[in-house]
Amino acid sequence: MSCLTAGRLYDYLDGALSAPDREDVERHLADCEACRRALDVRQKIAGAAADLPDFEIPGDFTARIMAQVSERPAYAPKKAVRIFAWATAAAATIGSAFGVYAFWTGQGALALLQKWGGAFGTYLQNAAGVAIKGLKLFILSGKIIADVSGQVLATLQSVAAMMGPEARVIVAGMALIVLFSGGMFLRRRTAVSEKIDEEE
Amino acid sequence: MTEDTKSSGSDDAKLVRRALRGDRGAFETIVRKYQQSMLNYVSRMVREREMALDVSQEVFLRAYAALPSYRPEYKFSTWLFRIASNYLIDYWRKKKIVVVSLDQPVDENDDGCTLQVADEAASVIRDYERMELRAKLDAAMDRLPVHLRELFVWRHVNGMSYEEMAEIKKLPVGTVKNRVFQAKEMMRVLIEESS
Repeated sequence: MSCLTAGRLYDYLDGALSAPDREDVERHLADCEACRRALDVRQKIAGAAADLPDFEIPGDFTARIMAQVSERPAYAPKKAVRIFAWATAAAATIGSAFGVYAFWTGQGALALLQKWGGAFGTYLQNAAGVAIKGLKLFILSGKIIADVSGQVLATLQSVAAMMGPEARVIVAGMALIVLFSGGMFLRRRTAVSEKIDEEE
Repeated sequence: MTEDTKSSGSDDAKLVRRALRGDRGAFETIVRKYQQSMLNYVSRMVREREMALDVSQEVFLRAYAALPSYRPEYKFSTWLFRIASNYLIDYWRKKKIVVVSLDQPVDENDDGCTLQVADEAASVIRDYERMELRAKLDAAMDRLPVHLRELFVWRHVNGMSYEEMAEIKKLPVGTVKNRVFQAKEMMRVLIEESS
């Protein structure tokens, strides 16, 4: 076997050789002083490079970076997290206000809750009545919309029946274009508002 | 990829997600995790201590600014070191140091063998104590062209794999291996010349 190339020596040191190739190299090294020395030099250099001391980091290095980071606007938390944070803050504020009120008036918190709870129950009852009326109104308006759209559809069908097949295709195509443009417009508006939201 | 690397990768992705939700503490954890390897690399590239600190600091700030562009399917360390490498390329360009592109074709005769010198010098190296070899290694690294020095440092100081280096430089693994080979042989020649 001829002497080992530098590439072969590095592959051996990297552990990149297959088992049979590794055995071949080891057999050759056992018999060849020149190759052993060539391997030794490369091994020592690689070892010395790996043993180089770590850079000594000043104690305030991380703090310096974080000081600069804190000067930049923080990334905004996601909407759900923000809503949760606001809800928690609102609950905490209401709770604190209740505590202060109870303390100030000298009333027991439980008695106060019962008193307010009774008043709240009445409000709730009234609100439920209004909500039911609103719901009825909503159902009624739904019926009206369904009637009107049924009549519009019937009119469109009778107009379509009067048209030839080419005219129908043209009208359908135009309708699709109008719908698509509307959709794209809405999408752009949504994207812009999301971007503004992110920037905030 | 080992289990450790996988879990470290998912930890990094979680930290990035938290930083993007406004948790600056998560980014601080990232800085603490990578500052040593970053400074080991940058200090061997720019050589001046204060400059190495400034460059590393700027790299982390750039990484913070670019966090939304990080994609968790890639290793965070690879992404971070790519930012550092690109920053250093700009740095050397400003300093008017010639930067050779790693993907330019390799001279057919330049297979590393031409860099070999007689191995009798090996006996000289054997006589050096570790510290002396370190000093020679440092001096030789200074003389190594920057594009080869970077790969040598990544491979032997940062302990990166060829695949990681290829991903950072966006080059084929074979090209990176070839250049690392050149770097190692050039280092050997420079060290032996100084002996």
